[in-house]
Amino acid sequence: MPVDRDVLDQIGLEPASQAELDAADAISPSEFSVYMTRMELLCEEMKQNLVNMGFAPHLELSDCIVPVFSAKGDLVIGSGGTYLHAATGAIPIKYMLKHFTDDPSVGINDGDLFLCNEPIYGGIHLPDFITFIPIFYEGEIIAWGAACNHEPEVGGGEPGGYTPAAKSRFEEGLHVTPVKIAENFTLKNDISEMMAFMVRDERMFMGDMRARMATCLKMRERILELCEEKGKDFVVGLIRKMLDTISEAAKDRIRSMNDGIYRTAYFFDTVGGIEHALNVAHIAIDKKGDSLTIDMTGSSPPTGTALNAKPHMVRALLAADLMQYLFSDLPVSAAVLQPLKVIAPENTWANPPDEDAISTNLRLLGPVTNYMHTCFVKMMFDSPYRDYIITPIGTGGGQGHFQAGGRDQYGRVFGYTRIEVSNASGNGATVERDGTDAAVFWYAGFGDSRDIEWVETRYPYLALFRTMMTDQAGYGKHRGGDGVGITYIIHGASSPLRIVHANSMTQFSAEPGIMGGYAGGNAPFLEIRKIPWKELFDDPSITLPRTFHDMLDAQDLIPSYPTQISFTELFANGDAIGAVGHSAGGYGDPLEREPQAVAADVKQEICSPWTAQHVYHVAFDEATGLVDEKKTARLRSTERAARLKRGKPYHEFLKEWEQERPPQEYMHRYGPWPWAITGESSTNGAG
Amino acid sequence: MSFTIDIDIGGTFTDCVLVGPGGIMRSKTPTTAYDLSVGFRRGIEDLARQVDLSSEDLIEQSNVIRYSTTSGLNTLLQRTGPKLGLITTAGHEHVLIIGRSRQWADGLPVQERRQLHRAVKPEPLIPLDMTVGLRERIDMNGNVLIPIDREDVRRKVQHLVDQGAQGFIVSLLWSFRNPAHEQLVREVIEEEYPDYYLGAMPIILSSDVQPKRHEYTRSNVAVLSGYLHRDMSEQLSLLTEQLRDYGYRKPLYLLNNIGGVAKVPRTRAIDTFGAGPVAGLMASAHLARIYDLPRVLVTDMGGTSFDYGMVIDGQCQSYVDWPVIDRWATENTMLEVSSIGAGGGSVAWTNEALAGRLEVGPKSAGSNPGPACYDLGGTEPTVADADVVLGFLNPDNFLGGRMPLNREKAVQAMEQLGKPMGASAEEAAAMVKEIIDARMGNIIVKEISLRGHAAGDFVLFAYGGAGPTHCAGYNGLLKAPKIMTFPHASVFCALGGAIMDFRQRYEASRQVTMFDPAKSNPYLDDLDDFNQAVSALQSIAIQDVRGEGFEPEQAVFELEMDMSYARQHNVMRVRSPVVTLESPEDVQAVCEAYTRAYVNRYTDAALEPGSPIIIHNFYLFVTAPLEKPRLPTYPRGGEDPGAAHLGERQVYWPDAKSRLATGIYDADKLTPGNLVRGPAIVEAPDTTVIIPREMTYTLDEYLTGIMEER
Repeated sequence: MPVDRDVLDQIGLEPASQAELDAADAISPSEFSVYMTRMELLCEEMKQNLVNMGFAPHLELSDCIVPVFSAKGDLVIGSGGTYLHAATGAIPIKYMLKHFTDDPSVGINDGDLFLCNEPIYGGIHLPDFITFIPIFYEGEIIAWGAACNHEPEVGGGEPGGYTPAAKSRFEEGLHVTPVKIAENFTLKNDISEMMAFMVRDERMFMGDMRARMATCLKMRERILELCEEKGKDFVVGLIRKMLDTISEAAKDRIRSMNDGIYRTAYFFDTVGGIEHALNVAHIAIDKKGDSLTIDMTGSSPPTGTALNAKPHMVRALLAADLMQYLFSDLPVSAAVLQPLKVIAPENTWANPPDEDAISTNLRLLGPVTNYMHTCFVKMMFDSPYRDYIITPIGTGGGQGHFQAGGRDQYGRVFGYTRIEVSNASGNGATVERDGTDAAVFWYAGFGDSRDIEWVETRYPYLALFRTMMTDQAGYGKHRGGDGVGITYIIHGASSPLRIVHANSMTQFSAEPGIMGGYAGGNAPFLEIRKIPWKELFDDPSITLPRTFHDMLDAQDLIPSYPTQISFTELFANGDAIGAVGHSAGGYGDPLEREPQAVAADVKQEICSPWTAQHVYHVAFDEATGLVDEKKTARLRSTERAARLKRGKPYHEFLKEWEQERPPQEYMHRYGPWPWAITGESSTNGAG
Repeated sequence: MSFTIDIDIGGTFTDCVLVGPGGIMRSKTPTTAYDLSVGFRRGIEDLARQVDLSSEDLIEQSNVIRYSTTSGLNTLLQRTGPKLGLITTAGHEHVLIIGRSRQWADGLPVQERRQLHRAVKPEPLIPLDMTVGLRERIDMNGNVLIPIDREDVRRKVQHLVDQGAQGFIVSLLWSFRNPAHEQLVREVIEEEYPDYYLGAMPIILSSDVQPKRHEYTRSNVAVLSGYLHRDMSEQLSLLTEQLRDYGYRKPLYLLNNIGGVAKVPRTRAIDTFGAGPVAGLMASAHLARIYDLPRVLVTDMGGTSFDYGMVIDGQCQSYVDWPVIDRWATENTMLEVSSIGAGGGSVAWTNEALAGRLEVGPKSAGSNPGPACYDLGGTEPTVADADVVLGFLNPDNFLGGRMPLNREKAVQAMEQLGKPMGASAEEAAAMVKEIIDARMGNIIVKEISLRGHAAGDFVLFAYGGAGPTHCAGYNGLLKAPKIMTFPHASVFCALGGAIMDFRQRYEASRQVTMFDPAKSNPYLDDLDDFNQAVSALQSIAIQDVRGEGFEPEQAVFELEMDMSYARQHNVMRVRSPVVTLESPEDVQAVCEAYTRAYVNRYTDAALEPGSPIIIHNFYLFVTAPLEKPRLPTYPRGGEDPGAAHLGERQVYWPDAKSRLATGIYDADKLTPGNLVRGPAIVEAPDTTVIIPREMTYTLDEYLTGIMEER
């Protein structure tokens, strides 16, 4: 396959020409401020256009971004949105420039538009589509415009864009390597029709195709207006000055933090449901000066399922995380990627052979990003950026993120990814306060969720409930933001629905706590079948479940109640599914939490009385919610003493830990216990 | 004699405008937050003095009194509303907390919306412990799936009462489709707490206040309506009582945010939000009609903010896409007057995180300490300081000399700013002006373009204390061929009320497929669905028209719709060419109106010829005319502005990068027909007009200043 490793690995900015540097020098401070703002606003305007025109629900919920690239393909500036796309968008453009500029069968001409969704050509997964346009002025390319969004249906073995059962990339759906889709500013009907024919929802696919294209054309128009107003050299100089300025700003910020190697490890299990095995992702971030090297050495081998990734994906996820938090006051630009380098040895899950499936990689990359994030928290603690610290946010880890397809209540074929649950995950706790509940979509910080009436208008569901989770928000001095639990009854579908749940990691939390805080909780995906809803609905003496915990406790009420990890299943009207948007990790010792805050959480059902008593050690009256401060102080003091008593020397702990070794049948992907890297000392402190 | 009086109670000032045979009189008094009627009375007394009447005589001789207020916003900011109970569908009690998850960003300035590590949701106006869920459920088609249980309602209502509820908000899923369950809840509450008991409490149904899809925004509208109701109605009662004491026997009208007025009993509290700025926009629409201008861009630059809006064909038709009231998203129809943090008080600073990039705003020095030149202790360099340093503002004649400025302090602040860049005070000031002007211009270009227009096709109206000072600057990006400034600019919002008609809006969610290419006759053939939706709204509207004292024949109806291609998520507001469908041609005309608007906004590359076209929401507007004043005119004289010439001063013009001798004129002495050639400055008591070298400024018979390129 013609995958170009050099392009994939090229994270630095393309070298500047003397002409670019001269043009940059000619720009005055006020011009720089004025026109950089104009470029930012331009991206925001185009993103709004894309959202307005879009058909995919992800577009309405802002899972998209509109960036401008330099003539050589470096991301100059992007709108707020899904930073992942910003971090990966340069690769197909650079590939196109390198391989097709001089290829007479392709070429790059004014009026051309290109499309790509191929993950191993720079993307993350097949649903990520980027449409890009070269912007010619006076006969040469001066910039590229692009529109990127998550398209929730790409054909393949399962509806909704992910194929968890895929063993190779050939089973995952529509793969589009960088390809010309328009000439003379006109969409090529033959090629677009061919692609639309390969997916389940042709209307959505083509509507979004046109939306991206119209966005790119408007972007081009506006950049050309700028060229007319200020001249070509000014625009070229502005682009160079923006890249260099933002790059320096990112490097400065990295430099201001302490050098060192920051390690962590993430464990994951239940790989694709085919076999049960313990896997590991080792993460060591080596921070030296203004460079960051992420070393994944020692991570488990490729999973043989769709739960794999590529080094550029790890890099993109980390970049998106940094853009969302540490760099949130810097413009969205590839220049902030400059310091990042990823080492992922071949034949690990982070660098499998190209033919391996990757379609559920976000289920793994989400938690891995959160664990990388914890390294940054350590780095940031003793830095000028301590107030940017936030505990890892609810990624969903797979639970909230199920997919469905079939015929909807209007008889139309549909396929999509359920996102209004995972888009309401908990935000992280900070040094100063609790995480915000139901607040974020982990990789698209601008993503919204929507009303139940929005969901039920579009899809054949009836939401039995959508409420906050209890005991899921990571405990701590400041607790993590809470996620939501939801149960949908299939209602009014014109055919049985295929529902896919790519759950993979229910045993390990994806949202670690920090500084003594607990991890955010896990929850199962629920399949609820053969329920006599009408009888239950009609009998006013029956209290219907109104929280996820009610569902788990309702087995006496609901006779058939499997709670299992599943792949594709057919669901008929009346069957139901339950899913959870994850909660964030906690910050600090739960014993330091304000007792009144614990009581308030109990009142809001975010914390159970049991947890209040046994984790937070708070004494309060369940009926009135009144806290007994003195008794609480006593309880906490007793618990602190008990902790000291439970403490033991490290070598004793290790001895005990040896006894916890999982059975050998689950260890073949893990490596030597307890440390996965042969020959290294376990005192390096994985985990 | 007969007068009209318009009162705009803002956060800082209460503006009163009197229109009568003698022309327009104005009064500006400080708002008395502790008792708004005190400021109101002072305003009336001031106006009465100007026309040599007693307050009682003035009021008695007034035909119409109109009123707009921001007091609702104060209730929200200070959280002084009543303790309410929310009654919703069981399993959805967290509707206000979960919302749309990212609602933490609603109502925040743009620059704060990226900062996820600072995300905090506002406390809901109704906490969870004052929320109950009823065992009931209706589906998207309005079918009852779980019947409501009266006993369950009684129990839950009692629980809320026990918790101290002073009113009830009822917002059940799909109630806009089938309001039966919400109505039953009201019935039960009224049975339990009849209104002859002292404990009677207001009950607000979401299906009454906003019969539209989306439970989060519908609930917010219902909650806001209930939360604001008590304070506003108390305040209005006091004012009405005071007017009665003065002898006023006619109705008090309230300005609303759809550009009209209605009597107090027919106005919803949340429709008063933003009514003041909307009144300014309506005043502009009136002027646009007088001057026969098809496209007008209205800008208002004050001390802390820059507001802008559009008038197309004499109408205000652009609505806020996602209206947020305080921190609460709604899908309320509100005319759009956008605002950014840019004004005379905007602070200039160097962004160290970005290699020292020079920025201006959004932080403002406010009015106290204010810009360095105010000499009230402020030291940060601001836009006003830049204007002083450049020579645009006259330190001795700012606000007609009422507020002397300290030029030295302004120079020091600019020197400090320029030092790291090696720039002099004047050079730094020139950069500040360039950046703030571009910021305003860039924002407008973006917003206008998003709505499918080009800024260069508009005439620019410039209001506000700093508007005429900076309009030529921000027009550098807009490229409007003509800029107009107006007398009475500082009380423009209050003046806007004087030209408003009775206007109300009625809306309903109803899905109608207007075009379906899969059918042999793709256009809608059964017109009843559409017409029934409209006639249901019309019959409510006619009741209101009668209630306002008009004959139904005086009512003018306009119809707008939210439309989209099938399965598209966002909708676009489209003005219908017809109010009811009478023929297949009418159906086609509606579809064409949609397609035309779509191409204007998104280009023809975005057209979806193979897609059905759907109507989602109907909005019916009814208007009935109220008496309007004629703007006073003045006799036209010669071109020579010599009589107003105060002299010359050296002004640093950034485009020339040098000081130029600049003519200074007294606005009060300019007369219609006068022509001032740039570079020049016209000093008025409430603003300063800057006329660049390449422009001229003429006054017409309304004393409107028109700035154009030579």
